[in-house]
Formats: sequence, structure tokens, C-alpha cells
Amino acid sequence: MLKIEHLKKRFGNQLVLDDVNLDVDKGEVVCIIGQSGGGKSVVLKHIIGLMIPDGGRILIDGEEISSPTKKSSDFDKVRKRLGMLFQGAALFDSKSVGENIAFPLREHTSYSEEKISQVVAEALEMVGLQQNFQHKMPSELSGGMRSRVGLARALVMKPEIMLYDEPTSALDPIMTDKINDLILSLRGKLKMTSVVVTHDIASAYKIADKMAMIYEGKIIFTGTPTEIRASRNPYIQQFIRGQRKLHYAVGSEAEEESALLRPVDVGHIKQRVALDRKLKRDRSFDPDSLNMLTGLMEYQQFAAVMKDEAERAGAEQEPLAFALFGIDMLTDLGDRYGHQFCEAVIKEVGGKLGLCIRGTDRAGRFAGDEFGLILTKIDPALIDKTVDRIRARLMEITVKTPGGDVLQPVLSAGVCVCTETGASADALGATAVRALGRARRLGGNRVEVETMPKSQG
Amino acid sequence: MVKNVSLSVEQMYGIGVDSLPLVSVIAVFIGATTVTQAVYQFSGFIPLKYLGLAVCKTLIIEIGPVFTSMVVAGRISTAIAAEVGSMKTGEQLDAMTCLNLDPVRYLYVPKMLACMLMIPMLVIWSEFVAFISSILTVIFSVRITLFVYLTGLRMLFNPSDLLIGVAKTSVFGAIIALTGCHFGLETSGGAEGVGNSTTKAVMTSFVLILVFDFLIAFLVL
Repeated sequence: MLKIEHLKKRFGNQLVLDDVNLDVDKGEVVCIIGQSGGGKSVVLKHIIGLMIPDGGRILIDGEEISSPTKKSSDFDKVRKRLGMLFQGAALFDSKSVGENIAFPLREHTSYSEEKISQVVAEALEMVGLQQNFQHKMPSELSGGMRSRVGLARALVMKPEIMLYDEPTSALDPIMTDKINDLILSLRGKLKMTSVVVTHDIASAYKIADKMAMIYEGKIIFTGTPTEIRASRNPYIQQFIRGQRKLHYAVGSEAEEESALLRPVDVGHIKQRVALDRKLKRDRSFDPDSLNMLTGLMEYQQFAAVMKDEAERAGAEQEPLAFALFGIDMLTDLGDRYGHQFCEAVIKEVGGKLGLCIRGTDRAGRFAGDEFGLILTKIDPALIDKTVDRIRARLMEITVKTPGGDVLQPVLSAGVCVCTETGASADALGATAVRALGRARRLGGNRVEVETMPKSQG
Repeated sequence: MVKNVSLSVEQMYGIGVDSLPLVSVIAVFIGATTVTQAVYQFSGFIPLKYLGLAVCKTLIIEIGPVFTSMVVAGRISTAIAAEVGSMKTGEQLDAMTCLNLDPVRYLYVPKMLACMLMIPMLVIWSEFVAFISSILTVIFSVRITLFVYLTGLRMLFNPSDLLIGVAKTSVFGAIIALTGCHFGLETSGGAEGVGNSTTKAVMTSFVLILVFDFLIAFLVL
């Protein structure tokens, strides 16, 4: 019903939308998710004609409604088919609730005042508000009530497509749920097509038939809520899990962005989910399996995860890397400053490692002063830079000696890269241990990489 | 069109009737101060029988229209800038567009019409009050008879002065509405942005009123 093709928009030097493509079917609820400032609302404003695109076009039922050559005034007919609920509802402050809802009716219809009152009453009832709200002013309403009145105002003109801009932001969880139920009930009652912009993942999971993830002006994923959960795109995982965005894993900024923006193949995701089911994997963590000192996985759990990941990478013909970080000269430091100092160093390094990895990577305590890190979705050619960047971050920590001096540990890393044919977890571990040993023999404070020969896979 | 008229009437009430108390108070002091200043300036040089003449010309041509317009600008251009600015930052202008309601037609034109029509009315009222005030001031504090003062008032009274004085305030009304709407639309950010817009609106309207006052005087008088 609604089709967005190669939409582009630039504000000054900032490219906000860069080739946005989206299809919305009739009666469907599509949630556009993404970070604040990512261009989600800009997409909505293009659909309803508040902005003219710099490139691309928007079609409704095959008819072009927006393109760089179309004028804003061309939208007057199209807007009658669209309704929009703004973030914060955008009610007219100087008018009462009833006047707000009646405003478009008075201007665009020849209804009598009696008929208008009836339509306003029906609209209020539809959004779950009582009739006595008609005489209240917007300033007397709570956020949720304002949203509902805004929705009622948009609904009186009976739009075919309803656009929601952050309908649940700044609402409490109960009110959020009410608004979500309202969106779903409108779809049920009026068969209304809805496009919802939100960064509230829980709401999106509840109401969406389809979710579209926008990142750096591009739709990087389109699929059902189940499919987005199964996505292994690192950025999507970080977003839906609410983790901090950390740039380190792929290489240079440009290469990293290119990897993050690569569209995910839905068929591929389905295959992965099927594989997980076949292998009967349970990736939930047992809190008892976490190392008390570092908060990372204990060796046993980590080895199991390593095995899973190695199998998965083998089955999917994807590259995988296993990095082993070792704290250089820890024994000497222990001799000089004592056991407690060594424990503090291990605790800090382990804690930092847990904080500076992507959602899809797995870290664990491998041995006394060694930490393992499984990296997926990597570029084998850049893995040395990637691991070195993580190593540099780990070496940022500081620990106080008993004498009050502040020391920064030095780390070495041995990396085993398995390119396409997969390898066993044991082989990965052994190769990484060998690489770490070589790094230490060469004086430490370095990264050594070994690529797994195909024959060992 | 009928709907536009009703919106304009609503704005006229807000701009005109609601400004009456402020304009009246200001006019009382304009009248009294003009007489007092004129008496001081005349003392020892010009006979007081010309007091009415001086007060009449000053009030009708310059002080009445310009001072009243500036006072109203202080109230109205800031109010328009704040209203339009808040509507912009609160996405109410976008909401209006989404409902196929043209902000120019529903918001700006009624304000413009109201300012252009109501400010001349306010100036006429202001001048009337100022004259009453000046008469009372003459009665109670100036050593001339009311007859002498009124004769002075009528001495060189020219209806076209009154007409020009009032007509130019229609231009000032347009300036007040335009600056208010312009800076309201330029608003960005939150409360601070609205505050900045109101300040810019009032400053710009003051300057433009004085510039256009000069241009009109230069071209017409």
C-alpha cells in the first residue's frame, strides 16, 4: 500500500536519510526502530508531506505522492488519506479537547454542530476517554491522555494510513501498554495501516507485524519481531538488548560501518534459527557459572560456548576468531606487590573486557591471567587491528600498588583466525595459546595472529 | 472566508480590546507629560496661547501614533512570536498542516488583519484619552484658561494630519504582526528559543516602526 523507494534527505552537510526503502502492506503495523536522531521521524514527515525529499520517492497504491519534483501543495489530496499522531500529541493549546477534535471537522466538512458533537463523542469513546474530557484544556491532561486526544483528532477524518511518531515516549509502562493496545485495537476495528516510529523495543515487539531498523539513514533490517531477535547483526543486537554502542570490532570506522550496514538476509536468519533448534542450544547463562572475581564466564561455560560458536561458524561457513589475552609479567608483579595486587589487576582487566565487547562476542576467563574472547562477524584481514584495539582499551585500566603508586598492566594477545571451513574449539584454543606464547617470547606487549589451516578444520 | 472573518474577529478582540487598559493608562501620561514638557519649553520664550497648537500637532502626528504603536508592539509582537514559536516547537504547526489546515490562512492572516485594523483604532482611542488628559492637566496646573488652550488646539488643526497619523499605524500594525510571525517561525529549541524569538521580535518591530515612521514622514509630509 505504502512504498518508499531510495529516499534521501540532507540537512546542510548532514545526510540524514540515505537510500531508505520500505514496503508497508494494507492493514499492517510496521514499526520503524532506531536510535534517537537516526532519521525515523524524518521518514514520517516525508510520508505526510511535511518535508520534500532530496532523492527517491514515496508511493501510495502505486501513485507517486512525494518526490523532489512534487510541491508541498500537491499533498493536500493525499493528506486526507493520512493521519498522524505526533510525539507529545501537538494539541492546540488554546482550544479545549472537544474543539481540538472538532477543528478538522469544522474546517473540512459541512457537518452540523450536532453531528460534530456526535463524531467527537464517538472518537473520544474509541480512544477510551469519557465525554467530560471534551471541556478540559490540553494543559489539564496527562501525557497519555494527550496522546489519546491527539489520536482521536487524527481519527475523526478516517485516515487509511495512520502514522505514529514516538507514541509511547515519556509514558509510564501502564500507559504505554494502553496506547499499544489502542493501536492494535484500531487495526482490528478499522483495518487501519499503521507506521509507528519508536525506540521502545518492548512496544515494537508487541504491536509490530513488521519491524524496520534504521541506522545512519538506511534501513538495515526488515522482518518480523521474531526475525529481528534472531538477527546476528551486531548493531541490531546492541540496540535491541539496550547495550552501549561500541566501535572496535571490524577495523577502520568506514569498514566497520560498512559491515554494520550490510543488510541481513532473512532467509539466512531462518536457517540460523533452525540450526540452533537442531543443536538444541541453550544459551542462557547460569549465574553460578560466572567467575566471582571478573564477572566473566568460568572456563567450563566458556569452553561450551566456544564449542557452540565453532560449530555454528563451521556450519555457516563464516569466519571466527578466538583471541587469548594474557597479562604480561603478572608473576613478577605478584612477587613484588603481593597476591592481592594481582587479583586486583585480574579483576580490573576482566571487568573492562566484559564492558568493551559487542553483544555478539563472548568473553570468559580462560586461565589464571588469561582471558578468552570469541569474535564473530569479523574481517580476517583486519583482526590484528581489531584485537590490538581491544588490547589498548584493556591497558587503559589503572591499579594502585600497596605503596600507593598507580600502575597500568601490559597485555599480549594471541589470536587464532578460522576463515571459512570452521575448526574445533580445541584446535582454536591450542592455536591461540601458541600465538600468545610467541607474543610473550618476542617481548610481550604485542598481538600475534595465526590463521587456522584448512586441514585442521 | 466566513471562517477567516471569525478567526480575525477573535484576534481583534485579543489584540484590540485586551490592549485597551494598557493603552489608556499610557495615553493618560502621554497627554499630561506632553503638556508639562511643552509648558517648560515655552517658559520665557513662547506665549502659552500656543500650547494647544504644539500639543495637538505633537500628539496627532508623532507621539500618539508612534508611542502607542510601540507600546502595543511590546505587548503584541512578543505575544505573537511566543504563540507561533511555541506552536512550532510543540509541532502544532506541523499538526495543522497534517490536518490540511493552512497555517498562513488560519494563523498569520487573521493576526495580520487584526493588527492592521485594531492598532489604528487603539491610536484613535489613545489620542482621545491623551487630549482629555492634557485638558485636565491644563486646568489643574497651567495658568491659562481652558478656552485659550482649546483655541490653540483648533488653531492649525488639519484633518489630514490626523488621517496620516492614524493611517501610518496600519503599516505599523503590519510590521508588528510580520515580525511576531517571522521570529515565531524562526524559533528553534525549547523555552530559551521562544524567549530569544520574543526579544528579537520586539526589538525588530521597534526599529522598523521608527524607520517606517521616518520614511512616511519623509515621503508624505
